[in-house]
Amino acid sequence: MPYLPPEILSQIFRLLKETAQNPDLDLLAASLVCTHWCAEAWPLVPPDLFPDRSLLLKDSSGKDAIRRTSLLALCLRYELIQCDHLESIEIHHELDYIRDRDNLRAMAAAIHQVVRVQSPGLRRIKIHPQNYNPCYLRPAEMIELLDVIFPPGEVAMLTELTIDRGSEITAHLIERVGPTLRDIFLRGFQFDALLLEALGRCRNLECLSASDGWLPGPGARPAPPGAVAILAAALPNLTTLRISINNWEGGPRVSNEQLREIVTRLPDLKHLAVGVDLTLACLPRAAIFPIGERGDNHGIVDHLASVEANITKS
Amino acid sequence: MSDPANITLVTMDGTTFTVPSAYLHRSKLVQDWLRSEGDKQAMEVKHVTPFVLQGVLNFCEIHAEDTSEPLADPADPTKPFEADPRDDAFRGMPDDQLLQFTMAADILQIPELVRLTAQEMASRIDGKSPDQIRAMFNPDDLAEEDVDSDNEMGEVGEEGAISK
Repeated sequence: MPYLPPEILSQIFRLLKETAQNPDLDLLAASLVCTHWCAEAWPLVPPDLFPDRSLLLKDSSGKDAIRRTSLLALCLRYELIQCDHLESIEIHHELDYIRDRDNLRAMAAAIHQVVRVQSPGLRRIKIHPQNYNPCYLRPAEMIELLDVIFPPGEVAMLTELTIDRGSEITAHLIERVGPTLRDIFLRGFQFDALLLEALGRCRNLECLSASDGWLPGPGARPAPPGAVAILAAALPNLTTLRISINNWEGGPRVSNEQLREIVTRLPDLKHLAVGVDLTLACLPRAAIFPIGERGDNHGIVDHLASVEANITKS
Repeated sequence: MSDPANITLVTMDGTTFTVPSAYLHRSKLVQDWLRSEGDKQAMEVKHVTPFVLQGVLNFCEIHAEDTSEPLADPADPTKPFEADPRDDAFRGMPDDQLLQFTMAADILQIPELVRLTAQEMASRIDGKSPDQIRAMFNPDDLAEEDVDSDNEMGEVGEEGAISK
C-alpha cells in the first residue's frame, strides 16, 4: 500500500479530532498503529487521558472503558506513557444487576493486559462486598473473572489485598497472587480451614487484618486445633496482626495461651490489635476461653496486657 | 504544441488520459504545470495507477462546475464537512483503494478530494483498535522495523507496533 505522507496523516487526524465520537481514544489508537502514525497522532492526544488511580471492574464497565483500558495497556507496553499513579484494581460486584457478562469478561481481559505490563505502581487489589443475591455475580463467576485477570502461571506483582467476604474467592485469589502479598485486609470472614490454608501460602505477608466476621455458614470447615498458632508459624514475616477474637456469644475464641504462642512464634511482630466481633467463630470449641461477661471487655484488656508484655519481653 | 483546452496525463505505466483542462482547475499541481510547462505534450503523474487516475478525473469532472472557494486547508475545522451525494462512490470504496485515492489527491494537490478521502479515512478509523486499523490500511508494509512479531498482546486483538 502507498505511504501516507505526514501532512495527509495530520489532516486525517485533525478531522478525526473534530468528527469522531471519542476522538481522544481514536487518536490514541491511531498513535499505536505504527511510528509514522504515532508521530502525527500522538501530539493531538491530551496528556491526562489516564488520570484514574484504579482499574475498575464493575457491571457497568462499558465498551469505552474496555477500549480505554486495552489502549492503556498498549501505551504502557510501548512506554508511550508512564502511569505511576495507577495503583489498584477494584472489583465491584454488587453495585447493580449484571447486565452484560461479556462486557465484564472483556474488561477483565483488558485489565489482564495492564497487569501483564507490570506497571510499577499497580500493587493493590480491592474486592468489594460479595452479595449472594442470585441476580448478582456468583462466586464461581467472580473466580472465573479473576482467572482472566490473573491466569495460572503468570506472576502479578500485587502486594496488597483488601476483600469483603467470600472465602472461596479469597482462597482462589491467594492461589494466584499470594506469594507476593505483603498486606491482607479481610472483612466479613471466618477463619475456617479454607481461609487458613490459603493464608498459609502468603509467606511474605507482613500485615494481616481481619475483622467484622460473619457467623460461619453451613459449608464451613472448622479450623483445626491450634489453627491460630499454625497460621502464625506459616507467616514468619508478620509484623502486624489486627484480629477480632470474640464470637456472637460474647466469649473470646482465642486463649491466653494461643495469643502467647502467636507472639512467641512471631518474633518480628510489632503491632497487635485485638477487636471484638465474630471473625473467629470458626475456631475450635476447645479454644474458647471465657474471660468476661457478654459485652465486658475487661478480659480482653487482660489478654492484651499479657500479649503486650510478651512483645516487650521478646 | 499541446491543445490548451485539454490536458493529457500519463500514469506510471504509460496510460494516457486526455481531459478538458477546466476539469483540473482545482489541482494546484496541474495548474503549476500548465503555467511552467504547458507547452509540453503531456504531464506525467507518477505513482498513480490508471484506475486511480480515472477515479480522480471522474471526481474532477463531477465537480468541474462547482463555484465554491477552493479549500485552503482540507482539514479546516471551521468548515464542517458536508457529504455530497455525488461522491458516494468514493465513500463506498474498499480501504486499499481509499488509501490510493488519498495519495493521488495529495499528489495532484486537489484539496477538495483530499478533504473527502481524509474525512472518509477518519470515519473508518473512528472506534477501531490499532489492530483493526492495521488490518484496514496495513501500514506495516511501510516500515518493517515497526512490526512487533512476538504477538504477546494478541489475545484480545491489540497488536502494537510502536517504538518510541
